[in-house]
Amino acid sequence: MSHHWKIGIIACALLAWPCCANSADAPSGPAPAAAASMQPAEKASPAAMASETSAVKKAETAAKAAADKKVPGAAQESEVKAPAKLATEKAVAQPGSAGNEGSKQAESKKARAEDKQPAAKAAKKQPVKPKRVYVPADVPAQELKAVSVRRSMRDFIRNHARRFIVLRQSEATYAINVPVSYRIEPSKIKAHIVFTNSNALLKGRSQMRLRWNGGVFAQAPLDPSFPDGMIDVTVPLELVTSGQNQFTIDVSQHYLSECEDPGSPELWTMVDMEASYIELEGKMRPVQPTLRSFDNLLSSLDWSDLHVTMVPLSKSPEHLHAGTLLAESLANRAGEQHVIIDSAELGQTVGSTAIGHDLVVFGTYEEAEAMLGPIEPKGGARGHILVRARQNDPGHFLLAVLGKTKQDVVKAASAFAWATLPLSDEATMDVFDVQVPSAMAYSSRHAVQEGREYNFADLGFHTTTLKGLQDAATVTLWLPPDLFAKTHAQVEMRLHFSYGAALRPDSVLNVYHNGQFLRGISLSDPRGLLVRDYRIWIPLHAFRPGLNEFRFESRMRANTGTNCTTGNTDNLLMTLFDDSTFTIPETSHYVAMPDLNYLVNTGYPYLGDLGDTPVIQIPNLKPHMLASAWTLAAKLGQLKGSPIQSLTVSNTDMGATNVIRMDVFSNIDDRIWEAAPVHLGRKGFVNHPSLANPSVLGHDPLTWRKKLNMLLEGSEYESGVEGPRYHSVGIQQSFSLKNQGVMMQFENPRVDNGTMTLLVSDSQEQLVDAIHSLIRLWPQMQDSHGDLLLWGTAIEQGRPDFWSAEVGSHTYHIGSMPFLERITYFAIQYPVFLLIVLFIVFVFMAILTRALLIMYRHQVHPHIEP
Amino acid sequence: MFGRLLHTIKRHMPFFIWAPGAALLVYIAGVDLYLSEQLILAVMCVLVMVICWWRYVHTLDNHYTLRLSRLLLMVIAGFMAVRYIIWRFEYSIPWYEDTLSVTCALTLLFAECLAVALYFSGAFVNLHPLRREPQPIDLKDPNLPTVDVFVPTYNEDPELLRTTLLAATDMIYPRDKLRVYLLDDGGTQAKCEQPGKKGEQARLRRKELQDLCFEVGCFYLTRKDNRDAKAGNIDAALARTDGEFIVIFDADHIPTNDFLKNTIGTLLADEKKAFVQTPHFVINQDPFEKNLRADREFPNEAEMFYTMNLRGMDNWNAGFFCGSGAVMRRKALEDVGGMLTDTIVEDAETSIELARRGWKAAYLHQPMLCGLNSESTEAYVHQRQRWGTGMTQLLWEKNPLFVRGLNIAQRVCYMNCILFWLFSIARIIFIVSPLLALLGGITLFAAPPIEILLYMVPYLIGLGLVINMLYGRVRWLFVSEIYETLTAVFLVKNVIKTLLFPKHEPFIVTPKGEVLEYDKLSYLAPRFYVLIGLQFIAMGAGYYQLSTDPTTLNSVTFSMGWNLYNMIFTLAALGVLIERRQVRARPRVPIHEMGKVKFGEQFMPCEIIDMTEDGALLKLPGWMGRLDAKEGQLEFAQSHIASDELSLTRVLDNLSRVGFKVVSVRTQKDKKKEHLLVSVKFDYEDETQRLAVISYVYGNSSRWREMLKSRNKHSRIMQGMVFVTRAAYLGLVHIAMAFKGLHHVLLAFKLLLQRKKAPKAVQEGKA
Repeated sequence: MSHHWKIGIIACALLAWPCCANSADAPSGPAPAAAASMQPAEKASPAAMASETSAVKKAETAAKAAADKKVPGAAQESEVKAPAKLATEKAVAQPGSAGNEGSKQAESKKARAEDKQPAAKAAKKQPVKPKRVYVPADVPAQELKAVSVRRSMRDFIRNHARRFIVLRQSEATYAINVPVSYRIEPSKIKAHIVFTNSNALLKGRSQMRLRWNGGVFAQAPLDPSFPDGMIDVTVPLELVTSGQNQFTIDVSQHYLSECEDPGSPELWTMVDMEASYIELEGKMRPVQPTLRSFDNLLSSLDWSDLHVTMVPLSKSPEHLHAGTLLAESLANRAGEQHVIIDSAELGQTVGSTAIGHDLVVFGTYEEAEAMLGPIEPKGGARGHILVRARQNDPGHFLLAVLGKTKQDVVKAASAFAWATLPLSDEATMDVFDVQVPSAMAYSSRHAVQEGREYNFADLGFHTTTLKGLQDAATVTLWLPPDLFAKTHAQVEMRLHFSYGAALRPDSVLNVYHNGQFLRGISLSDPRGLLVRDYRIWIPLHAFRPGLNEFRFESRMRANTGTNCTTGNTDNLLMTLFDDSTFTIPETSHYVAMPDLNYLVNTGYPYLGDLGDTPVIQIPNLKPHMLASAWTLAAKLGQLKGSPIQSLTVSNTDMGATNVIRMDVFSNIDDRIWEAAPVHLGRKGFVNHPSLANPSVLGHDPLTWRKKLNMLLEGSEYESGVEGPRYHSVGIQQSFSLKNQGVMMQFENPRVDNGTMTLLVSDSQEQLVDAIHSLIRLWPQMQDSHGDLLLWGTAIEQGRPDFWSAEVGSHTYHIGSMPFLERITYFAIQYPVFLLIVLFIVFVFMAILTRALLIMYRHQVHPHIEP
Repeated sequence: MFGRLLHTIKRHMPFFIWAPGAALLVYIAGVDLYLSEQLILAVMCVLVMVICWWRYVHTLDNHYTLRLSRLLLMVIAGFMAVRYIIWRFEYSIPWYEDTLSVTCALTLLFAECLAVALYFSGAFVNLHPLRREPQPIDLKDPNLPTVDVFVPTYNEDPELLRTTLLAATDMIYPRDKLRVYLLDDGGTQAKCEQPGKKGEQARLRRKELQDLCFEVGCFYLTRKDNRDAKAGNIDAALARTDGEFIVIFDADHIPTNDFLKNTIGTLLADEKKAFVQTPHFVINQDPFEKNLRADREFPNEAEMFYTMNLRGMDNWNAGFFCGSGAVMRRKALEDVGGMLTDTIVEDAETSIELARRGWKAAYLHQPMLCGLNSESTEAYVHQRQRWGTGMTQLLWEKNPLFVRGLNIAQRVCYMNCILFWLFSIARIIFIVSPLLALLGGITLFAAPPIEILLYMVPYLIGLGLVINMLYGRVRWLFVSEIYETLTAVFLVKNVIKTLLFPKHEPFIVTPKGEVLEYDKLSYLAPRFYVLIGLQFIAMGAGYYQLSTDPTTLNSVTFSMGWNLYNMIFTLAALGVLIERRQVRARPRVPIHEMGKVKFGEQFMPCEIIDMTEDGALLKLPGWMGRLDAKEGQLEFAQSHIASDELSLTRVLDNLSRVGFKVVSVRTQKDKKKEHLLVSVKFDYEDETQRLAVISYVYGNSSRWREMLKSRNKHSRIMQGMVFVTRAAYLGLVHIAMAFKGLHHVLLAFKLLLQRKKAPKAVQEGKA
């Protein structure tokens, strides 16, 4: 509480006298006008936009003038003098259609631009009524920012999977999706391809083609004499669209003029995706201030991280919760790009520091009044969502999420978080109430539940026709991370597909699961077939927690009879219908912890699936700590694919079962260190799994388990029991951090079967950097495991800079499982336990049977000896 | 109401204690493990089972059924069986294969469930067999009940009947309280009134048997017609007699002298006891032993039932009347309306009805009658068909699961008896399944072979060990498979037919005392030729699949292994179908007792090697030189009859003499000494001498006990395997003989064709 008070006092000190005056002023004047302005957008927007446009122009002029006059730090100056300026603004804003920040700010800038005198002078010119100061104080409007970015092509491949791609056979294609942000007006897009081709190719007939959204824009011969090649080419802008663009590399490769084998091994070209890049030049577009286009603003920015500055107007628990929800929802809207969140305090000069960031402001109407003017939602609405271009940075937006009360702020934030339909083409939305579904456990965008059947259509897949020599389609599903995989628990995939006639017998549909080959389906019937219920069973334990990808790659050939005749490729068709299904086996939610793999892949157990209120605990509510917490919350939301309604941020653990604690390691008390796998800062044994990489020592090929698996052939999946710990090297050492972040997971020392994840660094500043690095490393950490994760805060391009290991020995279980089913669980996890229990029961039953037989004999045949 | 509930709970308290433990085990049996863990579990269980089995079998007092090792083995084996069946149900049915495969797989599963049900019910029955001792009676007690002995007959040889009747009349019991009746169904009024030769034969038979009864000293009874066969015959006699107790002997069942002395006491001790059953002891080899040349290497097939099952059922108060060798209380029989006639197994049906009405029964495991096995395979098969049909009829007529009045244990026991006869269905399914897999490409399991083996093998090992432990003394592992394979092929039709159409089947009397003068191939063999042929073709098909499609290696190898196993037993069964010659209607009984032989005026000691009522083999120790005598006299002591009981029998003297004629003489070297072996044929002066011989040979129950004991050795699994291999070899011999026969037929056919094609002139010339 004292903390809050402190912040409040600082805020009052900064805002000084206008605070009080405004309250007196509130009932009269702007309120009705504001109410009117919040009516349908067509009434409010034109005026607002008009004033905003003029304000922008003038702000630009002012900025230019300032620059011309070489007034160093003009922006800073304006910030420093904000209270005085605001007096001027007030005077200007009063007669206009006040009620929104845009118009006010426009007026303010106008005043500033016109009046190049010092602010004090302006104040003298016109008497000033007391007025609440709004924050952020703005800097002079700037020109739309020019953009020039270059990204390696590897960055556009999911999870940066492979550096080199090899295009084989006579025809081959590789496609990547290149996003072009809606915010950017591209002026030039350049593709730079570095490749090596086979020196056995036939020069005249082998070529590489580059396509952008299907249109060929470049072609180059594949010269066997000069096998190392490079293409630098500009993409015609008419082919480019905002959003996802498909960039395709096609090759035609031949080694003979005729009668060649199209599958000959010397037909290859390798593209270095790391060295190849795409360069984008252009400038920022002004943000379209409608909710409908809001998602576009956030998505398709893969070229760089999405930076958002969040400004809570208060630091009440409700505000922090609202901030968490907003962070998650922004991240979800941002797709797969990294979302880095900064935070600014009320009164902090965010206007300048957050240039180039999007701004999210949230609080009550009262708190926002100073910034946005008085807001009176229509018809008893409890909350309000507003979006507009930032006045001084029109390439970025300002999002305001407001409520009548603190609880209404959470409601408005929830409304923003859960609204997925582009319902409003307006800049504002009134929120009356929110009904968040009660059964939220294990829900996600493509989430599946145990014991259920799902059509591909349910998972967002639509009937797709695969064409040509090779094509592919992808289905993804999100599997709850804590499903207990029994031995025979198998996911059944039933495919419904058809394929064309006259395909060559070696035509196949290859099915991949998370990149691993799963099954080849022959498409060999020359008459073509409609196949229903083609079944494939995949053991549940082969699934990755969270997102799983199934890729269907067709490899079709025309049945021409010989290699010398050109095949008819028009009939190379195969349709995968969206009524194909997945059936998830019935099982329980029950897992052994700790395992950072769950957190890294799904965010478990902080997804609110366990009926609890997970908390991200930070040492204080300073902006950089809040920023770290919300950045992590955003990542968790992104992992789940939907907002985590119950997740919140606090400076206490709130009595939660599952806590993520971020702190400087010196602040952590002994009780927590005792539970943690490693006690930082103190001398102790640390188990190093072969110093850095746990797989260096490999597995003992002669373990009984290995031998059995070899004997039993088909048992390709291990039972999930961790490998022997004697690979670890115990070193008694002190453990300190420098430029590193550490994440540890262990049982919450305060709550049984609760999970605490500890993220620590040397200092709070270091911690913020560590979190940002962690977010950027996250996609590469899918195979992390164990209870300890270390990462460097300085990331070297192309090199993973993290280590994970299991160094602790304490395990616990979370989830729910019927008591009897736990026997199955423990039997699988601990076969010795099963044997012991079983043989005890055997002996007990034998003794009991013996006693009963004797009893029976005494009762029924008393004269005959047993 | 509450009190009643409490009483029920108290009464079934043991079950309430035991059931949760069993439920827990069943639950754990359903735990789905990874293959490596399943292997560990299987290995550990098998290891412990083998140790338990070893400890039990190799202890001196391995009759003691409450040894922990025995019970532990049964618990673990039961666990593995349940685990296997749960696995089969849950994970091994190829639901997504074609309809035919699913149908076949479910049929196989049904057969396996049947086998497991039989296994469990059998284990329950034999959990704690009862060992009763005879209850002593005072033979001089004037209040001893009157006893009527019924010997029903239809077409048996009068000489066979004579022996039985003489032995029956000679039982140690007050003369005035014992009446023996020959119940002749071969000479009924209806039979005698048949026109022609049949009627004449019936009249002759009636006259002959009437004379026999007069000579022996018993009563001849017949009736108007042959309604309801044996049951009707007994019911008719019941109406015409009034003894308090009824004893029933089949025509070939010769009782020992002490039969009544040992059995009546049990009935007198408890008025609710309806009957006392005794085991049927047989002295001749059954066709399996005879045809496979197993000279009493293994126990007779029926011994499992009499030594183990009946004792087990006795423990659970589920008495079973076996149609002969039982003393019954007339009152109990009249209570259920005499022998029941709804099925052709009147004995089993009557047993269930008696138990249902609250009558108790007792089984006295003392061999006190000597019977005959059916000599030929055909007769054996006919007998099994009748039993199988009759027991299957019970499922419809008196299903123990549904009839009122039985407790759970009794239901399980009686169901076990009935289920046993459904084994033929399961056996045929097990034989046909690999054929379908190899020849028809049918998928029977939706699991990799290694997984099948990991679940199936420990179950089968457990099954084998339990069977060996429970029945090892009375039944050999693997040898019983030959019995079942052969019987199943002929029985399955009857069982299925009865299951589908449970109409009344005719009662067919099993022929006994058959004689076969030369070896021959049984006419039952052709079905096995077809089966063997299919199995050979299936092996070829499997080999072809392996050579053309290596991906099927595991599944095809599994099917081929299974088929090979079946082939071995099919060949062994075929080996049984070489019928060996049988020269004696009743085999000689091993005696090995001292007697005296008189040639001329000189008595000298001799050892009686073996003996029947017709003759004996005598060993004259230390006799050097020649034996010129053509006749003599043998003196032997009726040591099994106490002197004070002698008056209660018809044997005149403890020291009996009978004249004989020498048939053959040969010398024998034994431990560097020469002996003379003399084969003699008795020459009776009167029926008293015959009676004395019968009493000596068949009247001594301790002799049967000793014989039984000498055969009651725990079988070794390897012995069984060796025997099966030998039997399979005989199967190959059978095929060779059949080919030889076929060759003769073909040669004859060829000659016939040549004869037809030959020029007329040549034919005439030959003529």
